[in-house]
Amino acid sequence: MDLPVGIFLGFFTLIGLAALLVPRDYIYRGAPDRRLWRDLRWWAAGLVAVHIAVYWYFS
Amino acid sequence: MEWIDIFIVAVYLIGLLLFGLWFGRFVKTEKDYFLAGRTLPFWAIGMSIVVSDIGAVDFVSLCGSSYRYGIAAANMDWIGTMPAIVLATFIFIPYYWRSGVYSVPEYLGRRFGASVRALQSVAWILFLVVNLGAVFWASAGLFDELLGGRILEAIGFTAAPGDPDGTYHRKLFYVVLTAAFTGLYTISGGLAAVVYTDVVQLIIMFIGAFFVVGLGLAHPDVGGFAGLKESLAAQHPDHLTLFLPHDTATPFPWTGVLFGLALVQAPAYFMANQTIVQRTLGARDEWAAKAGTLFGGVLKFFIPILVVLPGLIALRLVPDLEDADKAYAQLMTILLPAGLRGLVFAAFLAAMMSSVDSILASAATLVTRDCLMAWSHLAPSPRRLLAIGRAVTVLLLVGGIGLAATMETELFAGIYEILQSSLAIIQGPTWALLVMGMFWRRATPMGGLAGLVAGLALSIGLTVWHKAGFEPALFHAEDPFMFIAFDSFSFTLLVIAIASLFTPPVAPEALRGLVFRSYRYDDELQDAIESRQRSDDDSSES
Repeated sequence: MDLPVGIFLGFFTLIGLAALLVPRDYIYRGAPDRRLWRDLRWWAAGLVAVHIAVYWYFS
Repeated sequence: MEWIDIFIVAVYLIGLLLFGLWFGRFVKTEKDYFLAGRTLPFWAIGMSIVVSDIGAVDFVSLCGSSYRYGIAAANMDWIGTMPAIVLATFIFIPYYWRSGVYSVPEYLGRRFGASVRALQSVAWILFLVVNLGAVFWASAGLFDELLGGRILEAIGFTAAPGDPDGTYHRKLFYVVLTAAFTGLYTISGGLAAVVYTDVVQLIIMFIGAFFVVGLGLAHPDVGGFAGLKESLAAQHPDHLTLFLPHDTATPFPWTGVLFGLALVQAPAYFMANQTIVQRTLGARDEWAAKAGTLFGGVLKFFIPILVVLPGLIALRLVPDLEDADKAYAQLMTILLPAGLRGLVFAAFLAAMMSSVDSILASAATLVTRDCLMAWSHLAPSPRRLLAIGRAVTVLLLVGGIGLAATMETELFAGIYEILQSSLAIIQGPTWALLVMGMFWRRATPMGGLAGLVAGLALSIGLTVWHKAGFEPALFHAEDPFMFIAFDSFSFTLLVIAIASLFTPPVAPEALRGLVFRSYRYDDELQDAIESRQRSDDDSSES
């Protein structure tokens, strides 16, 4: 079952990388300030990382 | 359950009702009612998304699935959420929010025309109404199992003609009770009441469910997570992998999970299901809409811990259950002392009521705005629309109760089984419409309509073929709806593309704000549109 594991983890990695490439202005549009905690790219990257860990653990 | 548990549940219900009713004082227009006046903060949106998604039936069915098939059931909330949530956060939700629509069919109507809007809204309304009846009845069954007839016996009811043990009438009583509590605050406070009661309900749900997991793992026969993993590895090794083979008979083949669930059903759910999207449309600003969606994804990560892990614990503690769907109820009986049982039952109620209030709010929006207003071409005042919206909500509630009361008839059992599949039937074509509409400017209204009709026809055909057991069998899985969703999605994409190429293109000005990247580099246009939206809001409120 190495093929599905590789496909899933690769898919998650691509999503995480794509999220990190979203332009800063687009992320903060509508936000009342530009504090670091509002940077949704890091929220998305963290969420993806946790999923990579869980899917690797239960592979 | 003991009387202390019933007391805890009563305090929870009355407190929640009063809290929800309080929001009625802030509802003056239909925008307040359907979109909470566009004031929602991100954390409330995220919490509401999660608890609206998870119902009492999910506790039962997902726990039962993990009892039968293992941790693979968690795919529904892990890969079945994260990719779709990230895509929704960064592309679809911002465009919905910016366009000022009240519903997904309204967006699809602007993109593909009135016929697509009408078909989509009718399909989703049918699904939501039947779902409402089903949630009422399934939850009433659960409450009857846990509470029995104590409340009714206390007021002198035990049986009725044609119902010697009183089961049917007890369930009907629980349906009406639940409908009354949920309906009162939803009709009074609209989306704001729904979302903020969802916040309370999520907290209760998480606390109660974590108690079950904690007590379960601490049980001497389980031995913590390590002990659980060791015993499952010895007796049910296939229960410890998220990746089941393609030709498995379980509902979770890895190919179906990836292509059907992650790439089609989940995106369709998080970007086309009005019950999920509506709270993001009520966000106070674009950032809150995006952040609320993503925060919902973060919280959703914990759901398998609360509903799937108990199924594995139940497999260890009660290994010979005939009906796996009774696993969660069995755990509550084994693990929870009096008092705590009431708290966990309140968690169940929270999950169920949040689903009901979300279905009501979203169905009322679709009926009022996508059917009544769109088809009649009337433009009533915001206050009159508010009254219409509330009246529609009452009718939907009554309809849901009526449907729930018919759930045990043979006719409805057959219809219900087909309509339970309806989500998978409409998700594939709907997602294809959204993908083409958002990313391909060349997609035309006639292309969209042709694709939707063709895609629905294929979904229905494949579902009927499988359910009827016709030969040749098209799928290995006993529940192949992930594959049906992917097949219908692919087919709809193809038909939209071909039909669009044979019909005249849409003028670029008509696509502004509806297609990806039509706003990103046009800040002047974006500011002009937001300024117009603000002046529209000011004139409607005056």
